This record gives sequence, C-alpha cells and structure tokens, in this order.
Amino acid sequence: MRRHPPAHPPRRSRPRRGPAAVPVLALVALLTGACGAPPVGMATDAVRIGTCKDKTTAEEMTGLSDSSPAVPCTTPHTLETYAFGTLTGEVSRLGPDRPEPEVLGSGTSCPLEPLRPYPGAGELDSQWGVSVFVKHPTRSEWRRGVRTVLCDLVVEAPPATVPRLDVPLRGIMAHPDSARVRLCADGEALLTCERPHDAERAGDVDPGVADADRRAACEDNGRAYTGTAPGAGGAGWRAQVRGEGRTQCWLVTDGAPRTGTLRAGLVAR
Amino acid sequence: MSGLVRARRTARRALSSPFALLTALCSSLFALRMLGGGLIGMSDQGDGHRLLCQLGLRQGNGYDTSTRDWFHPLWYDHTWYGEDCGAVGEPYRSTQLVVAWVATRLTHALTGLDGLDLRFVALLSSVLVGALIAAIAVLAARRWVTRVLLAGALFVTTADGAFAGYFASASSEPGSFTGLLALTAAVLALLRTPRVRVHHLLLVTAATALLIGAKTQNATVLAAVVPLLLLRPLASRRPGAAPGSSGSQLLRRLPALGLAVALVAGSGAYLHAQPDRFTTQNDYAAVFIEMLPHSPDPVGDLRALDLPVAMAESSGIAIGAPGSAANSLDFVGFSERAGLTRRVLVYLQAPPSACGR
Repeated sequence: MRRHPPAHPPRRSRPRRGPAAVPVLALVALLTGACGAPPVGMATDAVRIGTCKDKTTAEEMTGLSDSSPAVPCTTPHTLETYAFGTLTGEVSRLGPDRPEPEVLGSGTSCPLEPLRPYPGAGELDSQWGVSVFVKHPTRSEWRRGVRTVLCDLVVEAPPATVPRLDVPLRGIMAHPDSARVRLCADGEALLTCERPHDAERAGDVDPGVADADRRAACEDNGRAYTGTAPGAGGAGWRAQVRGEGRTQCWLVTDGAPRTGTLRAGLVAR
Repeated sequence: MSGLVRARRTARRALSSPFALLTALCSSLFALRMLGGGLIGMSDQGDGHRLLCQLGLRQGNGYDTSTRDWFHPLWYDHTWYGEDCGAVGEPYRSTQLVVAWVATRLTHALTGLDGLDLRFVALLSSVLVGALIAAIAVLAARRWVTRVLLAGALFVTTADGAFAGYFASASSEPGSFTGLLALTAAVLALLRTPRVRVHHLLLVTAATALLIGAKTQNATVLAAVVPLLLLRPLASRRPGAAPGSSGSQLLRRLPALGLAVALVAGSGAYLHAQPDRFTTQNDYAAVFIEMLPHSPDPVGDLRALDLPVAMAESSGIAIGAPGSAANSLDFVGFSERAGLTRRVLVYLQAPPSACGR
C-alpha cells in the first residue's frame, strides 16, 4: 500500500547538532590512549643478588625487562637473581634510546662461574633443570643511563605448570629440597630427582684409568655422596659408569622408582 | 494522551521500523551463528595478548602453552608490571579496546568472573554487526525485498568462517570489520540524502576514525573517504535555493575540508603513536622478506638504503630467527635508514624490482 503524503508539511524540528560523535571519540581516546602508565614494583637497579620475583605467565618471563615487585624467596616465586650480566662496550654506549631486543640480546652475557657456587653445589653435586633468564633495563631506565642486566635462575616444571619454587635457590644443595635441581635419570631420560627415577648422578670419574678403576672411583663417589656403602641402607645403590667417554658416575637403585635424593648430610629447613 | 501511552506508541513504532526489525533479525542470527552450535572463536597469535593485557587481562592458557593452537575464551584479571604488557612495553592502541572493555564489565556483572569471557565480545559484535547491516540495507534500498536480499548477502559474508571467528577473539580485527560496515552505512547516508548536513559529514568522519583507530592498516581508506567528504557541498539553509555560485559552493565545502584535514592529521598522529617495535618489525620484513629475496640486486638495494652489504646474507630470514640481520650492532637505527620513504625511493630507482621477478 502506498503511503499518502502528509496533509501538513512536517514540523520543522530543531536542527540536530549531529550524532554523538564527539563523546564517542572522547571515550575512544580515553580507553585507547589514556590507560595510564603500568605499575613498577621494583626498578632494575634496585634488584640485588638473591632477589626473588613471581611472574606467572610466559609473556612476563620472556619479557625484555622486569619491573615486578620482589617477593620473599620462601614464598612461591619463579625468578631468582643469581648474578648481574654484562653488556659489550658498544652496546652499553648506545643511547639515549634503548636498542632493539635483538641487538641487546647479542651484546649481553651472563656469568656462568656463579652457577655452581650459588646453589652451593659441591664437586659431586650435579644441577639439572635450571635455566638462566636475562632481563634488561626498561626503556626509561636505559634513557636515565641504567645499564644493569639481571641474570635470573628459573627451575623446570611439568608442562603447562608455572615453574615456581618456594625456597631460595641460593644454598639449596644443602637441603633435601635440592632434589628439585639435582640430576637423576629414569632409564635413558634425564630429569630432576624429585621425579621418579632409578639413578642419581654422583660426579665424574677420571677417564684416564681402566674400567675397573673407574667403577671403584665411582663407588668412592657414592660412598661420599650417600654416606653409605654400595648396597647398604634403604636405597641399596650400586655404582655405574655411563655416558660418552664413560666418565659419568651414577648411583643406580633397583626396584621401584624412587623420588628425592640419596645425598647425605642434608639439613631440613 | 498520557506519557506512558505515548512512550508505548513510540516504542511500537520504532520496533516496527524496517531498521529495528532487520537489526533484531540480523543480530539474533549472528548471535546464533556465533554461539548456537558452540562458540566460534579465533586463537591468538600474540596480537590479542598485546591488546587485552592493557585492560589488565591474561589469557586462560596453561603456562607456556600455545595460544595459537588452542582457543581460550576466558581471560582473567592480571597485574602487568613495567614493560610486560603491549609491544615491548609500548601501548598498542585500538578502538576494539572499547568493545573489549564493555565486554569485561558485562562478564563481571553477569557471570561474576573477574576477567573477560569472549562470548560477550561475540554478543556485542552480533548487536553491532546486525545493526550496521540493517542500517546499510535500509539506507541502500527502499523495497523490502531488496533490503532483505542485501542484508542477507551482507550477513552471509560477515558470518562466513573467514570472518566469524574474529568476532570472538582477542584481536583488533572485529573493530576493522564493524568500522568498515559503519563507514559503508555513513557513506550511504551521505550520498543518498537530498540535502547534505553537517551530521552526515560527522557520521562519515566518526566511522572513519573508528575504522582507522581499529588497525593502522585501515588508514588506506582515507584515499576514498577524503574525496567522498568533499564530493557534495553542504545544503543551503534555504530549502529550494539555487545551487549558488562556485564561491558559495566552495564555502559550503569548508566543513568537509576541515573534517578531512582532521582525519588525515589524526590518522597521521595515530600511525605515529603506534609502537616503535611494530615499525621496526614491519620495516625489517619489508626489506629482508619482501625486497631482498625478490631483488635482482640485493647488494645494490642495501647500498641504496645505506645498510651494510653483509646484511644480504639475512635475506629471507625473519627478524627473530638465527641469522637475522637484527642480531648485529649495524641494526641500530635501521628504521631511519630503511623506512617507507627510503624503500619507495629504492623501488622507484629500480622499477623491475618493484614488480618482482
């Protein structure tokens, strides 16, 4: 049906001032541009050796810098600073803007020397499942001249699990919870001693001696490591020399896989 | 007549309007498409995280598990410190954040979850898409059949698997799609009105701003929008008045000119405000993934860009991959030397390389 034209001309309404474009644009500007600066929990140059942080997403862990607040190392945490890294002279002189992540990465190194003394590893203690993460100064810190590079330790965790620890890594080898970072094996698979395993690493043996002497040396290592003789005690270990070049000393336990460490003399927390 | 009766009559009239009916139909069907057979969504290749972390959200995936391979519809409140959020800490601006922000408020109000359920993004998108399709259909055609056919065609296109998943994703693409629909509707309103008013120009400007504000790539629409804004002069205040002299016609295009200048300047500022990291990555890809592998003379191109010729070894290698030219001190200041203008000049100097080989 056709519509009839209106009998009267339409009433002239007050001219509209246009749609709500201005408030919409203001809202857009507010929400897209003015979200404010993100919080800073701790400046990079305020971090000390032994500082712990708790970052719980992979995006944070792999981030270029770290401004998270410190947490006590006796509470769940994912990162522990064990050393300060160094930048090559050329990279550290770049500025005022911070170089691209790739340039920073190629000019940064973390010291490897403290990796064993930091957790208190002795000659027979083998670490496993610990990675080094590097954090650089933030953009604004770099502009202020900060060149501190953090070298952090991160422990291994099962897939899809946050790699958290609730004890400090510093000196951990003196405690039973060192099983979290000690090297064990389940068959051929290398893993940390807190997971079910049938062998635990107890240092190395001299490659320059005969096989029988290597085994004897490995038994000596086992005695020192466990504080017991081969086959004695609850664990009932036996020495086995493995690996390429046959220099690795392993303490093999028969029977059901076990968890924890054979290391003697550990102090409960 | 009481106010209540008048209000009910107005509401009834509004609901029986073609726009409202088509909006209700398209929105419902779109929501059904998105949620009816189980949620349709899109996983995140990293862009979603960069965007939504700015609302204090983290994706609901397990630690260090792939966000590309699996779709995670739930995002949770999270405090991001320092540079952990955005593009190496630089803010990533997009108008899609507005939709995501509203969706977080709805998620909290309706489910109690402190975070974001992407199903609410899907619902909001359904309403927006439905309303915009209806607006386009109503503005483009007068006959019901044509309107329904046009709305149907737009619906089928938008709800196609190539696009639908984005409407329940953390990406900024939904802002682009709805922005494009809004711009289409606004341009139709501008072109079909017998008398151009300021609000027609403002509608086109606002829709363009929303579209470009969603993703920087959309700035290319300016090439079409600016001429469209200037196409028709504002209507004279006196109905039925003669078109007027060329001087008065020019005068009546001044508001459009002002808005066009504002759009171009605003887009420029927006492009400039994008994270430097994005610029570097784009410049790197333009040189090492696009230009050098297809160039007859990669070394000559590098010389023309004032880059070390040794970088030719990184041709075809992505920025984060081993062998990348970015892993070198020579990469410092790369974007200044190999920015868009310099690259265009290189292509102009050697036209065959612009066409590939």
